[in-house]
Amino acid sequence: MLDTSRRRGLTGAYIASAAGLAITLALAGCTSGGAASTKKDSYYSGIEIAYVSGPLSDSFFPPMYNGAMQASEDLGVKVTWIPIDEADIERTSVTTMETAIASKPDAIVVGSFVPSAVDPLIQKAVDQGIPVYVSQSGQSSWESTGAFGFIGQDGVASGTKAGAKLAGNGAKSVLCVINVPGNPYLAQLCDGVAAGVQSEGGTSEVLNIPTADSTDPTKVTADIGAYLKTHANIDGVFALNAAVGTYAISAAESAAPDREIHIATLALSAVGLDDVKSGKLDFVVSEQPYLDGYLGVLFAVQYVKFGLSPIGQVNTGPLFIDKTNIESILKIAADYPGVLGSS
Amino acid sequence: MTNADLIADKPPAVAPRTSTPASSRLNSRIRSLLGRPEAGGAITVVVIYVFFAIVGQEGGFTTLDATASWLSNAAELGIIAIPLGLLMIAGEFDLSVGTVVGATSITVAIVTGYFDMSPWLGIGIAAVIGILVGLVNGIIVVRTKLPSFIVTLAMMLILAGLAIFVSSSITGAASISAAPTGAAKDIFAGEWNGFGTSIVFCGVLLVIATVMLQKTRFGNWIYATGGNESTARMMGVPTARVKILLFIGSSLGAVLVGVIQTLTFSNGSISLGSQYVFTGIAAAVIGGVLLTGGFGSAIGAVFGALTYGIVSLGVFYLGWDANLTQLFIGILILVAVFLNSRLRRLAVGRS
Amino acid sequence: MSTQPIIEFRNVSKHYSGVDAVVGLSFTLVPGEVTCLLGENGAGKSTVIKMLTGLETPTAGTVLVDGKETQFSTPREARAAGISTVYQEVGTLPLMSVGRNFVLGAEPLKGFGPFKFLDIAKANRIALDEMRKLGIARVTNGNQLVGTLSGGERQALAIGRATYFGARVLVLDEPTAALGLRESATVLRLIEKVRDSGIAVLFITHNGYHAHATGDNFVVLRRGANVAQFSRGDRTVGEIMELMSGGEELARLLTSGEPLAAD
Repeated sequence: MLDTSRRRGLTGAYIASAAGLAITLALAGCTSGGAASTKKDSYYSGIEIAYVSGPLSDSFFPPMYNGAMQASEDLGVKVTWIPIDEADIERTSVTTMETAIASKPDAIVVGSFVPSAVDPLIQKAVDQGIPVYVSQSGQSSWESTGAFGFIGQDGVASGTKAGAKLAGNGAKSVLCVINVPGNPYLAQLCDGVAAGVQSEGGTSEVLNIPTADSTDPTKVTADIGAYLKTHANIDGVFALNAAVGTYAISAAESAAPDREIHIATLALSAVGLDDVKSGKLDFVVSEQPYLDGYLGVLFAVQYVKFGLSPIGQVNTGPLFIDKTNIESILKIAADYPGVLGSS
Repeated sequence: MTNADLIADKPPAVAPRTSTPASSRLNSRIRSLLGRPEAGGAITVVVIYVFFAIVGQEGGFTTLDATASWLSNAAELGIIAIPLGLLMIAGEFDLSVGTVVGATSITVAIVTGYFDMSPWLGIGIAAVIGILVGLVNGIIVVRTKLPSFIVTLAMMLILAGLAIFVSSSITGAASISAAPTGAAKDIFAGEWNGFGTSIVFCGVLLVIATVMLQKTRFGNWIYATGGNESTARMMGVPTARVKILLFIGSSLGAVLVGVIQTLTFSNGSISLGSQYVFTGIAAAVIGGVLLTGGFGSAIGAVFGALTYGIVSLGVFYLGWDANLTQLFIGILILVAVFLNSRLRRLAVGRS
Repeated sequence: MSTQPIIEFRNVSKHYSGVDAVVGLSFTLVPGEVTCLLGENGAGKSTVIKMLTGLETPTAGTVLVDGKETQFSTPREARAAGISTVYQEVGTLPLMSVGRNFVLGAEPLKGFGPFKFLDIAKANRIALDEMRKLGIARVTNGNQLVGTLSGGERQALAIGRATYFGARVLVLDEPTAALGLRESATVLRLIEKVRDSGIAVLFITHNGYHAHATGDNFVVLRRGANVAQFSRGDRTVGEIMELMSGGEELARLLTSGEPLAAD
């Protein structure tokens, strides 16, 4: 038959393939995919929720994930976290929703990042008898899709309040930094910021950080710094996630050390809270994503069991954290890491 | 032994072929099948599908909905991977495919959504852009003899920058919604029970590419250009023309996917399709296309796309940590390439 | 038997900046004869090939093709004149089949109009026929990859390809350099077969033994100049080897009245 050297070669190939599959199986066994174990005999046991939202690599989402997982544990239900890929946002918004539908859960909680693509799928899920609750993203169009409610904050309104507050603090020319270009929600937030700043008589600009750069601290800092250098009029920066807020602070310190720049960010982190305390950040706007996660699961579970849910939009934000309330917030953040924001 | 003995006119000693036993004929048949470029890809996709079908069944992997989802996605990757694979067989890379998808997307969306004009106009402009990009890529590579890796990388950055610039200048945004209607939507974004028209496009492209590669003179030239360009040129193969045409083909594949996705999502974005630069090459390599050129097939690229599609979406049905997807894909690529190289050695090994 | 030479080099020189690669070289290539071009590395053999195949033009002297003064400005012109070269790397693609390799650049087609398809069956047939004519019987499947062929068989493919597509002059650049004993013997036999079919062969080698076994005429180059030119039987192997490497022997041999190129 095949001579020895070739047989050895083929055997080697089989062994390698088997080893590869075995390794991944073992790894899979060790890590559960965000589906918490169900408590037997809990009041809600047997209910399965698919939660479609963002990746944990984006510092905004870990508190939401923690909230959803805590709800899963407290209520004794199975929650599967299905994250999109922010580098491929349109396509994965669709595929994650398709996966959620195909897995036939009792309900879906979804963040509709690209409403034009996701809303039809929400409708499809509802038509198939799967109730859908919209969380955090998709606030402007959820009602027409057949979803039974929305929890989160009104992006534009929050942005407007934040912009007005920054302008009120003295910033006349505000830069809004978008770290996921192509995400319509973030674009709307910046529109809101612009409106708020303009209402106080100032102007606003937008900086799109290339997606490839957005997870690289040095790149983002350099990008923002370069913009500050070349636009000497900028005296305010609004960042849309906690990490970018930190980079904005570094950028301002190195690129424009003599200019007073008011910086604020959406979503908080432990570092962000310290920066509020020390004055480097004017304020932080929190949507309290932990609540989006926890209550999103809770509302879905109660709707599945009883058909009851809050009517319309439930607001979890915006919560403004500045020097006036920082102390109490800091205490909570220290006692419960991962709840208020990422560490 | 003298020279005279060495070259004495004696025929080489070869065992006369009387009858070959059936088992060794079967052996050589199996061996020649395993030596085909798509053999590794075919084996891989079957193994992977069986794996996910078993382990992911509870999560719904085998349902019609799930199948429609991963198959449509794999088809889109296939549309990229087929012409990209042909280019790789000819010995070149195209790292600009991702940004061509994004540029197409923003073009179609601006024309349709921002200016409210016919989507066919947007599609036409995007096609012209695609052809230009391919032409420029090809001409620069052929004239300067710089590695296509670098040339197309530069093109990728240039195109990405241009896309943001044009999009911001015209609309002030990087993402534009467009709600197309009519024939364009039915053709490119149509679906039947969840199965998208991308599957049909991929199938047609597969047939065309396979016939061209295996049955035409041009296909022979593609293999030769990738196998050894100087030899090919010596034999009179117009390698420059071959490469330029293939660069154009690779860009047009990206344009088609950009059109399909933009019309499907009713949204255009400059960052659409940025992943294809990695996943396209990965699909081709899993499917047996040699990174060094000269070997591979269109059906192999499709097997690779199917494999990648199954893995990247199937992982959600297993309930695994979704971050494991990339780990699994990485391991998968290694295993697939290893399998491919062993099988190829089997084919080229002397009988 | 003397026939009109296909190629004649008359006092050809090639000068690169600072280097005399070839100096005053004269020789002829006659159909049906093997001319061995001998010399150590750097003797100027590759420059001669380049001038024959149109990659370089002589700085002095004339090249005559069929008696007419000719200058090749591109390789294509040389090929059109019937000069084919098989280089050391053989110019075959190991991952392509025997048939496809054979017809590369001149693929047979079948069909009409826009639907012209590659006639693989015909390509395989031609390839196997030509290789069999050269004495290669082991290869029976035109679809097998060239990588499965031995070094000698690949040479046969390349040589068969050249002669099938109308070569009148076959230039073989170090065809046995990378081959073992048995494979070299195969190639030497191929050369004889090709010569017997009426083609003029220019066999470039630095292996005196191989040259001695097959050559009809010999031209020995040393530092670009022709230091000896003789016919089959005029020299022993040992004398050829000494000629190629030069030394005191050289002077002694030169004064024994052999025809030399003019200086």
